[in-house]
Amino acid sequence: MKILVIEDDPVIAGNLKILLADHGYLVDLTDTGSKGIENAVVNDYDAILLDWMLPDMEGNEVCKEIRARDIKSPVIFLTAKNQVEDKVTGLDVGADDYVTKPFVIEELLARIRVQIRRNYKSDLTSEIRVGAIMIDTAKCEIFVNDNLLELPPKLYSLLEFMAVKKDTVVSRQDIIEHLWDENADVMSNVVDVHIKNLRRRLSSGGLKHVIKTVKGRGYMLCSD
Amino acid sequence: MVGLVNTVIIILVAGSFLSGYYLLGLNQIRSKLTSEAEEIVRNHLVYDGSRIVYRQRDEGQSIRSDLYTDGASAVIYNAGLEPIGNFGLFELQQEIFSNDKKREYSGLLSMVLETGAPKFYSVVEIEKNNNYEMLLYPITSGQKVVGVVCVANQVGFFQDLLQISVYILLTVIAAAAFINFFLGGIIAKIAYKPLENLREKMHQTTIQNINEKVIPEGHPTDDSYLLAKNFNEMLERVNEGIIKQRQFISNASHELKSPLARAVSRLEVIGLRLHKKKVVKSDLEKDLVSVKQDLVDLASVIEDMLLLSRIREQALPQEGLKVSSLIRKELKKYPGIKYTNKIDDSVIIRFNKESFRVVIKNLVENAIKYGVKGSLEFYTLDQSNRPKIVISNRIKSGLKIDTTKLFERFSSHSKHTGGHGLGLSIVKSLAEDNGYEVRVDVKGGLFLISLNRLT
Repeated sequence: MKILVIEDDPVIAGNLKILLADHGYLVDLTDTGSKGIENAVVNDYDAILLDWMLPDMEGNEVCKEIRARDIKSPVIFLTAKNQVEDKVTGLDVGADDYVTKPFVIEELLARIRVQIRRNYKSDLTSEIRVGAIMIDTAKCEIFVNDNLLELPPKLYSLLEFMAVKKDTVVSRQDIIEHLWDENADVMSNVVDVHIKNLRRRLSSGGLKHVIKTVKGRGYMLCSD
Repeated sequence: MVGLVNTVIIILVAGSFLSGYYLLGLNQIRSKLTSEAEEIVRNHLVYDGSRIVYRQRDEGQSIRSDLYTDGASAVIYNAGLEPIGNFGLFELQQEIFSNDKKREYSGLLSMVLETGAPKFYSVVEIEKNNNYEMLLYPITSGQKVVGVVCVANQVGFFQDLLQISVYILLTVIAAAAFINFFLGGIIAKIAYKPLENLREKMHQTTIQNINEKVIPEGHPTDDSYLLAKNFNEMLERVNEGIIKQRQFISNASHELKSPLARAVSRLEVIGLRLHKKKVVKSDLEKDLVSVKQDLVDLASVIEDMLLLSRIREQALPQEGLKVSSLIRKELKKYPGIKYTNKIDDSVIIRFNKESFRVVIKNLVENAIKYGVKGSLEFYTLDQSNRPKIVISNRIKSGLKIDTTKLFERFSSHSKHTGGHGLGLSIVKSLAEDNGYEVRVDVKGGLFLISLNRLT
C-alpha cells in the first residue's frame, strides 16, 4: 500500500516513513502543499497524511484542491491543531479522518487501515478473509487454514493488496503503483516474479490456484 | 416610586399656586382698605380743635353713602377711643368681637393712636363663617393723632373662591395621585422596559452566549438605546479578547505539540529499532540528541509564553540605560557573532532593564536568523532628541521575509524560519510597555529592526 505524507517537519516526516514502512507501507514524502497535490494527481495513493501548517498553503486548501481534482484517495489530517472548529473545517473540505499530534503510531496505523478498507469496500475489521486465507492487517500476519504463513514484507504487501481487491482483476500497473515507488521500472517483469513467488509460498501452505492469471489484464485473488 | 414623586411634585405646585393666589387676593383687599381709609379721613372727617366732625364730600356724598358704594364698613373713634360713628356692619351689630378678640382689638387701637401707624387686623371673626379684613387707620391733625378709623371689608367671597379652588385642586391632586400611582407605574414600567431588558441580558450574559446582542429599543438618541448599543459594543470587545485568548491558547498548544510530536515519533522509531534488534549505537545517540533538542525547544516555548504572560501582569519600572554597554554585554553571550556597534556610550534611554535585555536578545537572534554572518550592525539615528536604535543585517541570499507576518504569534512564517513565533511578539509588547515602537524593514538587501520612541 502506498501512502503520501505531506509534512514540512523533516523529523516527523522521516520518523513517519520509518514507522509506516515497518508496517509494509510504501511512503512518499513531500514538504509543501503544491508538491503534495502534484504527487496525488500523478499517483494513486491508498492514503494521504496531511499536515495543516505548510509553508506554501494551508492543509485545508490542499485537501480542497485534491478533492477538486477528483482524487478519491482517503485523506487523513495529521496536525497539532486540535480545536473543534479546525477538525470540522478539515472534515468538511473532504478529509476522511483527523489525527492530532503528538500521535501514537498504533492509532494512526489503525485509522489508515480503516480508510483503506473503506476505500476498497473491503472487510469491516482488520481481518481480511479470502477463502482459506486470513490476513490480520493489524499484526501483519497471514494464516492459511489457520496455520501461520510467514512472508517477506513485499510478498505480504502484494497479498494484502490483492486481498482487499479480492475477486477482482488487478492489473500489473495497479500493483506497481501501489507497491513500488516511482523508481520502479513499469516495463520490467518485477510483478510477475513476485506473483510467481507468492503462488509458490501459498502452494507450500496447501493453497493452489488461488491467484488466477487473467490474460492481457492482470491477476485475481479468488475466494473460491 | 415614580408615581409618588409625581404626586409630591403636583402637591407642591398646587400649594405654591394657592399660596400665591391667597397672598395676591389679600394684598388687593388691603390696598382697597387703605385707599378707603384715606378717602374717609380726607373727605369726610375734620378736626375742629376739640373733636372730630363729619362732613360731606365736595360732590355731596356722605360717609355712609361712600362706604355703601364701596361695600365697606367703618367705625370712627375719637382720641379717647370711644366710637363716635358706626357704619355698615358696625352699625347693625354692636357686639362684633368675642372677649379675647375685643382685648386684642383694643390693644391695636391704642397702638395706632399712640404711634400713628396704620395696622391691619387680619380676618377677624365677627360672625361664624363670615370673615373680615380690617384696617385701623389714624386720624391726624397736623402731627397729632386725634382718633382712629377702622375700615372693614368682607373677605368671604374671596375665601369662598379660595375654598372652591382648594377643593378643585384637592380633587385634581387626588386624581393625579391615583393616575400617577397606577397609570404612572404602568407608564414607568413601559418606559423602563429597555433598561429592564438590558439588566436581564447583563445578568444572563456568559462566555457561552456572549455573541447574543441586545436589540436597542426606542429612538437612537434615547439613553436606553445608547446604553444598549454601548453594551453591545462592550460585548464585542470582550468577545474579541476571548477569541484572541483562545487563538493564543490554540497556537500555543500547537507550538507545544510540534516538538512533542517530534520527540514521541522519534521514541517510537527507537522503540521499533530496539524491538527489531537493529540498534546502531551512533543512530541511537543521534536520535537521543534529537529528542533532547525537541524537549529543549518545548521548554523554550513554555519560557517565552510565561514571559509574555508576566509582561501583561506586572508594572515594569523604567530607568536610564546605557544602550551601548548593554548591547555589548548581551552580545558576549553569542561569542561566534561578529558585529559593529556604532552607538555612542553617551546614548541613554529610559527602559525597564530586564525588558531591554529580552528585547536585545530577541532582536539579535532574529537578526542572526535572517542575516549574513558578520553583517550585524548597531547604530542610532537621532530624531528630535528621540534616539532611534537600529539593528541592521544583510539578508541571507534567497531568503524571503514577509515583514507583515513577523509580529504574528506562532505564524507559519516563523515556523519555517526556525523559530516558534513568540520572540518578536514579546519584543513588540515590551517595547510598547516602555513607550517604544518596533519597526521591521527590508531595504536594499538589508534587514532593519528599529526601536523608535513614541513620544
